[in-house]
Amino acid sequence: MTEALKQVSTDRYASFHEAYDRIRGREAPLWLHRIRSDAMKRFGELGMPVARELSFPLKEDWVYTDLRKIADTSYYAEPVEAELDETALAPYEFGQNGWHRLVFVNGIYSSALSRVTDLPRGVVVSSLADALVEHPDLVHPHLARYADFERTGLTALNSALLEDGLFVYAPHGGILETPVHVHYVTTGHKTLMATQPRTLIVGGDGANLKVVESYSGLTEQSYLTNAVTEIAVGRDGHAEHYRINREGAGAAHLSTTQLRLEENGRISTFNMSMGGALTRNDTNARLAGEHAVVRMNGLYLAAGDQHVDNHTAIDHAVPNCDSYEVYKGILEGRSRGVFNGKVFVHQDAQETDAKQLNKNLMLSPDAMIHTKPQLEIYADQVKCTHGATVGQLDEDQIFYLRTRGLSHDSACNLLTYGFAADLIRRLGIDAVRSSLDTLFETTIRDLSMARDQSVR
Amino acid sequence: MALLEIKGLRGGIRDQDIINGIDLTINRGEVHAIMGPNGSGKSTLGKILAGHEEYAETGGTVRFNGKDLFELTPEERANEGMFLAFQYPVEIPGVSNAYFLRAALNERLKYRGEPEISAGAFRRLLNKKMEQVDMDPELARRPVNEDFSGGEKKRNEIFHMAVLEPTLSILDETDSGLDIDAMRIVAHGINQQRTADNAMIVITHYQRLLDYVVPDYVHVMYQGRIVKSGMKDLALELEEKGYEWIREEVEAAG
Ligand SMILES: Nc1ncnc2c1ncn2[C@@H]1O[C@H](COP(=O)(O)OP(=O)(O)OP(=O)(O)O)[C@@H](O)[C@H]1O
Ligand SMILES: [Mg+2]
Repeated sequence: MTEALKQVSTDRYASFHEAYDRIRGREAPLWLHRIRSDAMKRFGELGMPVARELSFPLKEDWVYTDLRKIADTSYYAEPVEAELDETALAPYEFGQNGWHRLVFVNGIYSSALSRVTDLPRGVVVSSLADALVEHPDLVHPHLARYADFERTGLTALNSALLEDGLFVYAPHGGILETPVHVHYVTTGHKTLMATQPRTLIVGGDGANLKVVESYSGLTEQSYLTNAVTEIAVGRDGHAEHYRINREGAGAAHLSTTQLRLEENGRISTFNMSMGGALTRNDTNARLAGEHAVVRMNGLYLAAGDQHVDNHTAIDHAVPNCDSYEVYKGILEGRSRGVFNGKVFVHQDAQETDAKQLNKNLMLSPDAMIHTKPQLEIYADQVKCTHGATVGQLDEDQIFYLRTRGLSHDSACNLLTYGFAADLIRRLGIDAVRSSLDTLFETTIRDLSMARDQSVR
Repeated sequence: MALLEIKGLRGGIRDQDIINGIDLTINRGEVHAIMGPNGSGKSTLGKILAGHEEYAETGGTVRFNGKDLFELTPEERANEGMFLAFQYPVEIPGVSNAYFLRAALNERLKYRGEPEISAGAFRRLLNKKMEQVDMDPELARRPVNEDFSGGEKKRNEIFHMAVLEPTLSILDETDSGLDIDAMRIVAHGINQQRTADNAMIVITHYQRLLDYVVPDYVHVMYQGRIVKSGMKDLALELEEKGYEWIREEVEAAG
């Protein structure tokens, strides 16, 4: 990069630098200062990943998603106080009353809206800021250990400005039956807000955790969410993770989710994207112990001018691990979808079983999808399969449903629902399944209503 | 008033007529069998009546329930009481049979200005109908026709018919692909639904179904026309002699 460009990029991110200066002035353990300052330094070098400013191979990851406009926007990077009551959140509520719930409004933890009930011995469910004060010994060994800020500008930015988010910890054998729902909410109290939600979920050997992470926007304005989530489970550990993006219509939602599995570990993650003007999810898993199994599924729905990009990477570092991945997309209007599924099988990762599938349903001739499997296999005793399909609703199916009395629209909606219903039906937790099922149905109906309006 | 009145119907795909002038009147309480060689236009007639967009009428009139059929969308025809059991039922992945039937039933109720059916009432109705057509409850839970065997798909069509209680059913070779027992069960299911108020068009190649579902009239279709009509004995005659004599008769008539 030339000096001139560097200068521009510093000015460009002035508000992030100011936020960093403010955060640095606050009391914190030395190791945390260190993470923030190293990350800020790295962000200074990398900036946001704008394809035309990157060189190979980083550039490859950003060819279809252009962050230039976001990089050039001067965001308001300070947390913004906002009064919210239950009724404002009601349409975005998720799960059941008994669940643990943590709510963050514009990056600020709301104790009024949050509730954590009885926890098993040794289990911690709290805001990350609280955990940094009360359990620094539990946070320190894990924070920023899995999501590498040296690698990407977005993770560097989040790590430099990290203040709060969710912390879940289950010790050796700790079982958290009741799911945790963390809700990151952005309101319209300030224009061009930027938040850096940080989620850290750690399970010891044999631990079992269930977390739902959701992002909601109560505003149509532009704002930025740059989230990082780290999930690590020990040997025989289980984690179920759901991520739901219901950002506001003007939002840019950038996220990195980093999973780490040890021997015999199981992590299932399900990513549902429907909100935001622009969404980019990077979901990565590292299978670091043998016989670990990761399930990485996702569903994206986009309409209008929405852009949704899912990049996934599964790193088979050791032998005998399985990865199963299914992503389905439903694209309406002039929306754009991107799916890039990387599977990396190291030379000694023999007996790897990796399955990947990406299916797309195009509801409009103006919608577009770029889908690409990216398999890099250096071991020879492996089973790796991948498939990608792009299709439309089938006229014969529509006719069949109409002969049973369904209107054309209902028939299309039902078929759209059926296209991805299997993904939801397979979800582990009943309450998550039925909530997502309802949400999915409503979203499809909204999509078709948007279509009818645009036709008129 | 006749339930269905077809006069001089022509139609087919794009610029090619497959149906070349059909007249047929069906009254409530009647069962009409339509037979005829492969490719004679039986399924096409069914599709035109049900409103498949790929097919279009190019002449003639059809009145159903006193209404101009061609003014109605496929779903309006269905909600007016028409039902087409497909020769090749379509698979609907991801949508359970029961879920789908509830949606279809509710559309019908809405069309008639009646309130939606409650979950409990629907479950009771479903159980009753499953029993009536001897439907495996497992198949009701599974996605519509997905990975069903050929015979199971046909039985599912009759199950749909039982739930939706149409006034005019067009059964397109519902008997083909069924084993002997399934044929009896399906025929029983069809007979259960025969009332003085509704009517059926039964398209078939085999006399056997007609042994169980005894028709009031039998029509023979050939080259897109009904070339012969008779009572149930005509089916026996066809079973015995094949279609050659019909062809000869048509050609002789020029
Ligand atoms: N969509 C289509 N495109 C082209 N030809 C068609 C189409 N639909 C029907 N046809 C033709 O129209 C004729 C009548 O077909 P149809 O399916 O109605 O026959 P059928 O009497 O039902 O035959 P079968 O007893 O074999 O079921 C056939 O020659 C068929 O090939
Ligand atoms: Mg046919």
